[in-house]
Amino acid sequence: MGVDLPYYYPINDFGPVMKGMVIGGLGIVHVFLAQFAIGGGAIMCYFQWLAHTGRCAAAQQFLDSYFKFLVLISFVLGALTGVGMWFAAIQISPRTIGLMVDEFHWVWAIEWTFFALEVVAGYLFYRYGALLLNRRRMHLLLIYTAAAWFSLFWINGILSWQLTPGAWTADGNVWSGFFNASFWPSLFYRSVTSLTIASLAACVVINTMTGLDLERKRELINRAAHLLAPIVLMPALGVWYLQAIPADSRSWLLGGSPAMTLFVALSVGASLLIGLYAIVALVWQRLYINGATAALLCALAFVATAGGEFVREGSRKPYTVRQTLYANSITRAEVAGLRVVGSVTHDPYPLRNADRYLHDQLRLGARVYRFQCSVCHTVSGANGLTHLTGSWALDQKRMNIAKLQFTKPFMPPFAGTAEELEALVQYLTWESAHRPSEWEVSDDQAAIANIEKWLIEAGPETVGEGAVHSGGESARAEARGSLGLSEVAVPSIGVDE
Amino acid sequence: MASIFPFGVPGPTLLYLMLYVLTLAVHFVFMNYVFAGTLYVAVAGVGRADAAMARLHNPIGAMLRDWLPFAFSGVITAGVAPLLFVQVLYKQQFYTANLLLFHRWMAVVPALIVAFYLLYLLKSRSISDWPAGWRVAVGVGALAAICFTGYSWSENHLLSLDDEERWVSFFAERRWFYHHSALLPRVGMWLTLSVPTMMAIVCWQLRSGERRGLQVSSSEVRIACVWALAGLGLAVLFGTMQYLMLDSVTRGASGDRASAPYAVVALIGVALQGAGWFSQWRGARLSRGWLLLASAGAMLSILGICMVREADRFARIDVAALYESHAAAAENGGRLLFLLFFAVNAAIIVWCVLAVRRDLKLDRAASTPSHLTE
Repeated sequence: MGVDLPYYYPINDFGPVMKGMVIGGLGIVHVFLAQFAIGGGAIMCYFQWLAHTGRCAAAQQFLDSYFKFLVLISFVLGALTGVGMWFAAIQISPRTIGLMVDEFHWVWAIEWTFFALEVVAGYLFYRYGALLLNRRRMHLLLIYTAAAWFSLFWINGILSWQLTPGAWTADGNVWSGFFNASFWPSLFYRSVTSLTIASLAACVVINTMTGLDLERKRELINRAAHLLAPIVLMPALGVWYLQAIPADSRSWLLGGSPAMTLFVALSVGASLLIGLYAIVALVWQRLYINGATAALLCALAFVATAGGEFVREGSRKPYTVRQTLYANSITRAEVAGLRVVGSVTHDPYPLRNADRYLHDQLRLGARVYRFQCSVCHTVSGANGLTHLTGSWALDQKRMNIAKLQFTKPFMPPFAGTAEELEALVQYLTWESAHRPSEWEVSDDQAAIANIEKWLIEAGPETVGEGAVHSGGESARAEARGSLGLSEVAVPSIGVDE
Repeated sequence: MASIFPFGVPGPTLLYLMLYVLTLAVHFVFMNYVFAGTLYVAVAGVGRADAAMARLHNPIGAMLRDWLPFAFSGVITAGVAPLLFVQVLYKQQFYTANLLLFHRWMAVVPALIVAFYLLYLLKSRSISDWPAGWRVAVGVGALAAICFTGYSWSENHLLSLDDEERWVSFFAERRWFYHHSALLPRVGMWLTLSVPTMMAIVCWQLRSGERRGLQVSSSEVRIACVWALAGLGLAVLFGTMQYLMLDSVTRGASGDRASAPYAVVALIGVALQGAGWFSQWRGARLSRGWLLLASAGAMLSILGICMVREADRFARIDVAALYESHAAAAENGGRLLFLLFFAVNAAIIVWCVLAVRRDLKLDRAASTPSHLTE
């Protein structure tokens, strides 16, 4: 009988910074710029129509200024932060991005064809737009906009699959996963967000345009504000999205996890402020806004995007791919096996600062921390374990970690031996005590026996998921194949799947 | 490996390998333009202020400054596909090398952003009014950022081919740089080989400009030829150095039957390029025939080297262990849809280009567009 083991990658230490903050920060900038590019296409189509039908005299001038802005900001920063996202994802969780690539590489390749079309159409307009017939300008802008939106369409399927993989967990079919429960609400929500960001950016650009009097600028701003109108759909789309996501994730967003609830509130609050200002002041009262106000509204849109992306990432907990891969890159299938053979027994990468630790038990604890915890936690920095567990008594630590998925339902189950858990407890306690120069090796067999009992009581699954998704083994087995697992033979003790 | 690469490789692996090589070759064409183009612009900007300005505004300098930002977009866009397929093909090796180089590797992203903006700055009209030192700094800065990225990619590639024992010691020692005897000649070869490819594209652009009234002097043509021939010569020199610096095992893998045909293809490409550029230099004009020969040679060289690169990789890592995951990946849906959208979107791209050209011809009938002869 064999046990699934993960492929071990080297794990880097980000110091006091949570790894999620790195990819989250980059991701938020990228998403904001990408959505600006998508909405920007729609707004330019609208102004091109206004220009060639003679409805707005300054529309042509706006188009030239706006597109330059779009190219310099979105084409450069947007494209390169996209590449940065690939690299950052590899740094944070190579197994997650590896699984996503294996499952969806053809979808990503399709998205790439649209991205190429978007770039070519955009550059042709940027370079030759002034010399083209109005009809051709409109063709290019429509193609650019459609290509940009379809890029969103394809990538949205992959990202929403992570939270709501749906029937994919049972049948392993790419399209079951792609057209998942949160696909449509997420797509429409992001489309409206794109229009909002592009409209607000337009207000900033209009304020920087020279050679236009105030009346012309007001007219342009009022026209740009027309694309803010869909923001009224956001509450309904938000509710639809909440209904589509799993009940446990929803409960964390709506009060179960204070941090996530705070970010939901931040996102909703910022969106509400933008929405109220947009509808009342810009669409209804047709007021003029100056550059500072427009920039402030853009900043609020950035905050709303940041909150939304944090929520999207956070609500997946304890998974990066729901029902398949935990946030710490351990699959559900591997948990039971790692409890037998040990989570770091086969990890070839040593500690970089092994001399810092007083003895092997602390070194083992540090390696277990690195493998199982460091993707979401630091030792004493952001989301630091010494802060989170520092007040717990020793036995409390042992039980809370052994029954981690019950201690906090958005945590994955502990995936190691009782000895590894004890080593982790000793390591965290030593770190909480500010690394004293003397620390005894814990050799309490009663404590180990208790840990073993608690691990068995807790089981290798997260709370309540087995009954809901009992049919997912075949798809997960295929996913395991693509995760690069190896097998080792272990004696049967009846806990491996 | 007994047979010629990639015969004997299972279908799914072969499919991803071919997609990787073809998309990588396209990426290299754009990359060569940007790599060598930035080198040319950086070098042209150095020296006495009036002479530097003349070089930057002559047909080659002006064409490059005008097109480098778009070509850079092309590098990024064309780079996405091979970045995707390399992950399907060599996931564990590629990811491990990324992780081991850590901050060093991630630094390519800000370096590319800086290079991108500096190239836009080089294109702007206002840079002509800047002090000479600043102008030089912009060109050299862009070149440095691009060279750093190229160096990092070569470093990443060589590290990914190393064994687990070396990876573990690299990690344990917290090293930031991967040292390999073949690294610098390898980077040198890529950089210098990019010059003739870039010059071939620039010469096609100049020929197109000639039809619209752009004046290209014979000395300009000869400058292009000298750059291309010098690039080819240096590339051969660096390539030879790289081969000689490999250890005997690796050299055996690189030079065996598996990759030899592709090395020959690459060398034939170099010879064709040499013949094309030398003939062009003698004629001192932009000849379509010789340009075609040089361009075909450049494509052969790029494809040949890409295949040698992969044959070398197959010989050095345990690819057979990955066959199963390639087969599993190939079973995932979307391949036919990809082919469909690839064809449809490629057709739309061609239509866009042709439609714009048609409109520009109509426009030229009425006036001479100054931006094309800038």
